[in-house]
Amino acid sequence: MKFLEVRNICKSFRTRAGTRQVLRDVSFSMDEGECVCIVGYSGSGKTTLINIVAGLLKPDSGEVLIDGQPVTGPSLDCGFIFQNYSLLPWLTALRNVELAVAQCLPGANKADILQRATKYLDMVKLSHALDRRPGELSGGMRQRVALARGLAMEPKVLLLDEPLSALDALTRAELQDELLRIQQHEKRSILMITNDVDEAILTADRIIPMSAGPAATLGEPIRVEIARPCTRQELNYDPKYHQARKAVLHYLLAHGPNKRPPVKPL
Amino acid sequence: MRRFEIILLPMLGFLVLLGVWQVSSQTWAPTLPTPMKTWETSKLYVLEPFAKRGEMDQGILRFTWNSLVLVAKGYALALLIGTPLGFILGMSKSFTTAFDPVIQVLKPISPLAWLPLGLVLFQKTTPSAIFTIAVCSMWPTVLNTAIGVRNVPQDYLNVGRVLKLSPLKMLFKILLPAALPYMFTGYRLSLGIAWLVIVAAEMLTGTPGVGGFLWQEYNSLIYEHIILSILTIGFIGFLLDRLMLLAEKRTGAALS
Repeated sequence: MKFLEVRNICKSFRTRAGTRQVLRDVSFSMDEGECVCIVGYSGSGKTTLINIVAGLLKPDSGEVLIDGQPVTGPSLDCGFIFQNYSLLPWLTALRNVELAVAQCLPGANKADILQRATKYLDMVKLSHALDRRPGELSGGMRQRVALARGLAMEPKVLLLDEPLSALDALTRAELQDELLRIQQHEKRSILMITNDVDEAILTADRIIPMSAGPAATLGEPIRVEIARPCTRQELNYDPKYHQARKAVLHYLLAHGPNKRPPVKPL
Repeated sequence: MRRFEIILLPMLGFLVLLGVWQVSSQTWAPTLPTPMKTWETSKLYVLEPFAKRGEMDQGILRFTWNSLVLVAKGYALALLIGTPLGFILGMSKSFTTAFDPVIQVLKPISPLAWLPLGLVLFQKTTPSAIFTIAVCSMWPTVLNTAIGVRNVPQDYLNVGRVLKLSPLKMLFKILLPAALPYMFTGYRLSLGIAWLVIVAAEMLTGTPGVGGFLWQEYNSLIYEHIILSILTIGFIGFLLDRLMLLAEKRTGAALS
């Protein structure tokens, strides 16, 4: 039995134009301590999929098992990191993380909660900004807080829904490195959604490409076998990097949106 | 705009008002006391603002204080009922469908219409005045709180769901803080109405306050005191609004 198993998920949404199937027979699995990235076009249903894994949405059919237990609703076993940070703006960075820790340690005393919250805010290098509210933090710092909140829950699996896509390119690269560094010594089980192929190759042990919607399905997983840790420069000269990139792009281009407007000749 | 303009221009506005008043009382409105005459007749009430010479003969700020106490009671009742009602309205769609029409029907009823009903219900003037203030001023609180709760971003609610917050924690940790800026707007509008109602309530019940004083002096034909009361009501209302606006801005700033 796998650590996380997604079996034959189908999901449709009813819209004014009629029922639209978003996910068609989606299945995959991941091991404990593995980092899996699902890469796909925007609007293909990636967020729907990760919401189903998190228990925020119910699938029409199929099931999700974490550690053999079926997911029936949101659970503290899943740490969810939202695309738009979703920090509570009236709480300081520390309080945002503490709120999550307090939920995971019911009955714990304040010192223990504080200690765990500061440990993870330290890990994302925010010890200097504990008392700042999200409004006083940059986008990158906000996502660090959100990351700390997810990590601090010490969940069985971390779910990251396009965590870096709202950031500018430089901050994004910085946070990718940060994520890698943390994963190097934390060895969490991570399921990440992204639309950036390079980001996926950089962070994931395995990449699962997703076809463009409607009725998106998953392609064959592509194992990323680059040596870690590695610098971006080393990565650039690693043939395995280019190999993985080629494989992912091949699937994505072959399963792209079919209604793409034709390119007009000049 | 330069600083002196910010002070000077409003003063100019008041000067124009004084001018219109002066000209009016000398031309088309001979019964209207001039500004000078008004000051002469009412300066005792202004210069000894806390004097108490009799039940209906008190300094203007003492009257104002009486009115404010009455308003505070009615207003507190309005918030106490209005806030939870707004929350229920904001959280439940069926509740909204059921009670929104009722609220829309009750909302436009004038205090002059509620007060006799209050007197019938409570037999005494003070409780019926409080009832009238509460029932007239709570609607902005109810409606704004409901809007605030309805507009809590889905992201925050998702955070609550992912963290498995209990319903009580969801209410106090997410819904309440997220809706607070809307609630404060409601509170400010409600206070404005509560102050508006006080005069009508006091006029009809004869309670010793600015409104009661105004009505008594109309009956005693001392028209200068009517103007004094009107100006007092206006300035106090303006002050209350400013204070609430400050509170509103501070909560807004704390949440942004």
